[in-house]
Amino acid sequence: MLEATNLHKTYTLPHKRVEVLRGASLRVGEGERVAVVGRSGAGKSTLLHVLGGLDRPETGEVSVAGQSLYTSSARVRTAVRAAHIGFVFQSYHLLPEMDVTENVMLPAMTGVLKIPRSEMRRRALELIKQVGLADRATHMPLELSGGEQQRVALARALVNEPALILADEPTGNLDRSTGGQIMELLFGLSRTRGLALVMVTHSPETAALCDRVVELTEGLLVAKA
Amino acid sequence: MPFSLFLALKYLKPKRSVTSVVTLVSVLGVILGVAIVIIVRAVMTGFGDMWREKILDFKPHITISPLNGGVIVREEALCKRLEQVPGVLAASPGLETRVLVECRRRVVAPLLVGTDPLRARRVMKLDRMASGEFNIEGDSAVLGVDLASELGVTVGEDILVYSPMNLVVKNEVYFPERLTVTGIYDSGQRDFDAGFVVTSIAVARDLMGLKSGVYSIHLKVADPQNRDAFKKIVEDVRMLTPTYAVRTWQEIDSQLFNALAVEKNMMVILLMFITVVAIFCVMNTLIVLTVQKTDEVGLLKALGFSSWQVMVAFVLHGWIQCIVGTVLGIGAAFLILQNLQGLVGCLARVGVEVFPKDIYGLAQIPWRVVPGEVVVVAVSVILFCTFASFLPAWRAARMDPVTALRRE
Repeated sequence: MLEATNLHKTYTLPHKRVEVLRGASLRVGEGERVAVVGRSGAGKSTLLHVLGGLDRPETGEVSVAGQSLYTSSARVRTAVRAAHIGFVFQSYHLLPEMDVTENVMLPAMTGVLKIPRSEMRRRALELIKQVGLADRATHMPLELSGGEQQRVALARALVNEPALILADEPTGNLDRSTGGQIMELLFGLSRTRGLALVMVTHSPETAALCDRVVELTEGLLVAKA
Repeated sequence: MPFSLFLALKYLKPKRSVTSVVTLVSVLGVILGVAIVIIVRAVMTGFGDMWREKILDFKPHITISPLNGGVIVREEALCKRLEQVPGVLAASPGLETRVLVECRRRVVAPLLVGTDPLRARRVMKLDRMASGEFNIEGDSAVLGVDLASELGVTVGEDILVYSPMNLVVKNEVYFPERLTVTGIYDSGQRDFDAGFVVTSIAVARDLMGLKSGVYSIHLKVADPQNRDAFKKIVEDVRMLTPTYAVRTWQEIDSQLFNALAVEKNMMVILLMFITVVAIFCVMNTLIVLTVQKTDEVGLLKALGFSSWQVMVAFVLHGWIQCIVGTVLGIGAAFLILQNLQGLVGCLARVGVEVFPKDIYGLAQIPWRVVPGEVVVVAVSVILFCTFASFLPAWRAARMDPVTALRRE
């Protein structure tokens, strides 16, 4: 599903060069769930951005669903991202001007699926129901709690029926109990839909739920027992 | 609905956001800018029309005179031939000269116009008589209301007319011509009401020491403002009178019309700056919006929206503000123009005289909207606005999604 080989990424700060990735490689099969752990500042978010086609590495290659991301044009990369990858962020990133349904429909509006607006709405409402917010479909994001907003973000990540979800500490802003519910939901959806999942997390409990755990250390991905 | 338009409309009506107030203020700026430009253009056009109308009513539309001075002889026959030209309503012989007019020991130097009493009514539209009637038979004269008041003369009284042509005769005692005022006209135009004495050709000839002939022939045509038809008439008249100088009303008063056109254009250019300032407000709103929405732009790009889609959304945001502002501005301009008299009346009541009656001599402020000019204003505003929206939109579109997302 996802194959990343020999990724190198360096940031140049004033008077300092930081090598975040020094040859990191990762292979994720279909429906496989992988947790990425590591200390703060190790470059986990950067790795996720590189895997999602958002941040070009200096060397190395990433392919998703058989399509190479960084040897293609920006247009192709954008289209692959829209069609095959769903993102879940720590801060939800819902658009405050749009209601819950419109927020969930957003990735479908990129036009990559070429489906009519009515079909987008149908899919969005179905997902909203699945994440347990059927009665909040017309609410605005600011009227929802943090946990509810993250459920909306989960539904949004799934609307284009991607094969891969990239999640960056999805429970980082939530309390333990709400975070647990979100994880249950995410793993449940991943299982029923056969989704591959790459999740950055600080929580050992969350990591333990995944099929595999890798640690980003010294710019390399090392399998953790 | 395309996504870019959908997003632009969403951004235009944010809930509980200061952006909506900023957007409202910038739309208001465009409304005011557009309305002011249209109102001023309409009033300037109205003034131009009014001048043109007054000139066309009072003065001849075409003047025929000998090429190298001198007089036109057999003017009656020429007038009859000219009246045969299609489009010519009337031809009237005329003599014009500067004279000194005296009454009650006051002396003024108006232009004396000698004309055919029968034809004059068809050539000069002098139906607005302040007193008396338009009668120039015998030793009589008709003059303007301002000239009459300057001389202190009323209908039935006499004026003395001294001609410079007679003053040059040596060793002769010269007696001025005594004419009786039979009518006082009020054209509503101070230049015409203060500067002319109209009398018969016979009296004018006496004053100029001429036995026969006239200095010019004046023509009135059906539609002098119809450019093509008027051009055709002028061509026909020129064909008929190849040895004479043929001058049109535009040529005779070209200075006035040029001054009006320059004034109008200058005014429009200066006022367009108001609109440009308003458009800067729209640009400012967009810049604020793009800064405010940095995270969202990052998210949209991460979700798979192209830079083009993001850019179009922000350009449309600016565009919609301008289009709404322009449409409402046009509406506001028409509303104000329809109630212009009332508004000016209100201003006058609080002591602000916008159009003093004794200066402009107008009962009503003239205005006329030229549809083409409204289109030019609307298109220019929308074009300016597209350029103004492009810059912040381009900045938003080229935003790196990773940098935007890292701000979380």
